[in-house]
Amino acid sequence: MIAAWMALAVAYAGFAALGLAMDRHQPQLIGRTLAPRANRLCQLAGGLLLATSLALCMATWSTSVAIVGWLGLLTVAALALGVLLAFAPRVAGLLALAVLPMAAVMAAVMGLGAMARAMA
Amino acid sequence: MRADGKPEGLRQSMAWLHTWSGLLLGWLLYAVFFTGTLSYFLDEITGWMKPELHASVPARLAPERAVERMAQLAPDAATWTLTLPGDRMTAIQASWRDKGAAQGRAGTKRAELDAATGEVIVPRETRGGSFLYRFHFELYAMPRVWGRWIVGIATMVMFVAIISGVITHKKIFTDFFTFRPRKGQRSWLDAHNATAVLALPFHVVITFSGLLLLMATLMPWGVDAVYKGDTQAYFAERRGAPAAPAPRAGGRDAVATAGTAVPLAPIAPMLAQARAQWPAHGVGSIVVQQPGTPRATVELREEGGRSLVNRGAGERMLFDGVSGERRDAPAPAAVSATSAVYNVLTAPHLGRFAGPALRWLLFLAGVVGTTMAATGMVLWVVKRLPERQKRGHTPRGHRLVEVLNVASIAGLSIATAAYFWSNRGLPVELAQRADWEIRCFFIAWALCGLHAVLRPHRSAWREQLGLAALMFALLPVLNPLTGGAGLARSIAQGQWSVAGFDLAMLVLAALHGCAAFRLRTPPRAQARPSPARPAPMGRSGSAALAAQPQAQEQSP
Repeated sequence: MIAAWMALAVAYAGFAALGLAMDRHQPQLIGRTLAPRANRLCQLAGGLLLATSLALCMATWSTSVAIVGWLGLLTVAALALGVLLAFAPRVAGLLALAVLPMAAVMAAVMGLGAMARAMA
Repeated sequence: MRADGKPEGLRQSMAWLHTWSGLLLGWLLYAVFFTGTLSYFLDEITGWMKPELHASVPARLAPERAVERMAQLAPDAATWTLTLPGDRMTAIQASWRDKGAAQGRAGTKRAELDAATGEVIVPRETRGGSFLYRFHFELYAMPRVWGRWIVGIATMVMFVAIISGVITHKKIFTDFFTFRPRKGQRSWLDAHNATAVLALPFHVVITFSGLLLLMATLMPWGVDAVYKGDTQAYFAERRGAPAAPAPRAGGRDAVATAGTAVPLAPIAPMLAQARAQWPAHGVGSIVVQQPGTPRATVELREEGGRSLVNRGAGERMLFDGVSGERRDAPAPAAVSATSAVYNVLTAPHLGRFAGPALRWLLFLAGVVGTTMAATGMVLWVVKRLPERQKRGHTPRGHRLVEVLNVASIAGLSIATAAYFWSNRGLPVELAQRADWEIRCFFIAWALCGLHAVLRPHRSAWREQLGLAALMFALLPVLNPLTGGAGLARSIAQGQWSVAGFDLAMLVLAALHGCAAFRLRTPPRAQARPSPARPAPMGRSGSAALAAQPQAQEQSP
């Protein structure tokens, strides 16, 4: 369950990175446009984050269920970003920055939990 | 089609196809999407509609009591099946087959037992969520085959609309996250595009698997030819014929054990073993074969499943019913490649494998699809407002679409709410009670149609959405007043299936209320009757019209 929330958070961050690579959304997110090189980097980061999200789903569910779950999470994440960009563009960017460390903290908690179980 | 007779590009002809295929079957598809989406919570809806069962608390589950009760209820049965409560139900569902009972559903008897005491609870007569579930692929009040054909044809058209829609949509990736609010037609187009594109995998899978699920109706010839008309044999084989049941020889057993019921071994240690093996999922159901005989077996089935390949079937554990010792469970039948493909494609449609998280994801995707259908139909009306202005009057066809839009979108919400209200309003002892609930659904829907005809377009939207919001909002209040577990109690007792229903009603009320609220002010710049639904047009009609040239270049 925690892994599914992490997958959602990472997917959101991934879409935000992809959005950051788009001319239309750059002014909304950071107040200026980026150079083409930076665009490529954002796209790469976005793709990697989406792949990470799939990996997290695979860790929770069997492959077939994970793909269904991942696609569902992508829908929710992209919709959330779209709605935020329309009504609260600043929040959209801040949320993307906020969820990444949250996902990292959750990963640490999960790792500690697994270690505790292994020791017990 | 071009009026000037010039040849038409692919995109234009696809836009034409998308517009008209989407419109003509849109109303039916909306109803199918709406009721189908609710069906992801079929068990929860049925549970809410049987408030007598809210007295049963899953947290106090004691399966031993239920097994004892079954020995009194059905001492001579060939099989007992106990489906245990949990995330989706509050009470134990028991079913049993007497020895020599008819095959299939006809020979199965059912009862609902209190989770803690095992006592039989007799709920009110209702079709519950099954009515909505059946309606979404068989409609109602017509032979099932007809309903399946109609929905099957609509599903095919949906597939056409999806493909032509993707071709029509020029800028899928540039517009990926784009929604421009308060821009009239452009906002509706953005909303339609976003709900279509962002859940596109879901839309494609749900539509294609819908066709697969109806394939025995739509294309029966292959099965007829190979199985020589024996469709039962085909279905059995496709499911993967169950591992041969333990030799039963019911007659001999009955004679041998008459009057000397052999007590069943205690079930608690078996459950403990199963829980240790399936810590995440737990035990979903208990199946006792040949209870009361020396050959009794107890089978525990895992709750939910792990993979789509086998339709989400869980693991099983088998015990000797007399000694209580663990036995080797028969290996599950191997899934053929054909069945695996069928299962993987249809399982997300059926959602039986899904735990709470996935169920909510599938439900949300369904909501997005329902919104896609609704925005598409509203867009048809909004797009034609300039044309109407030019003509100076509303053509009859446009008015017809307006009326059908209100009745099929807002009216269906009211009809569904009326169905839930009638569940609590109608007297429990009423004859044909379940039928009356369904009649209330259709009467409310018909009244909404009449109201949409009689009222101006905008008022009809506002009033119906407002009424739907009110009806949904009061359901959680009605629930504890009419014998159910109210929110405070259901949350405190961890009855999440009941609490989830009430909370979902509040969310629905908020959504309908927002839409009605944004329609409260009449459009300022327009003296003409009736633009479409919410605020985009309300805020400023002229701004909406000004935005049109841009919107036109992008849309059909």
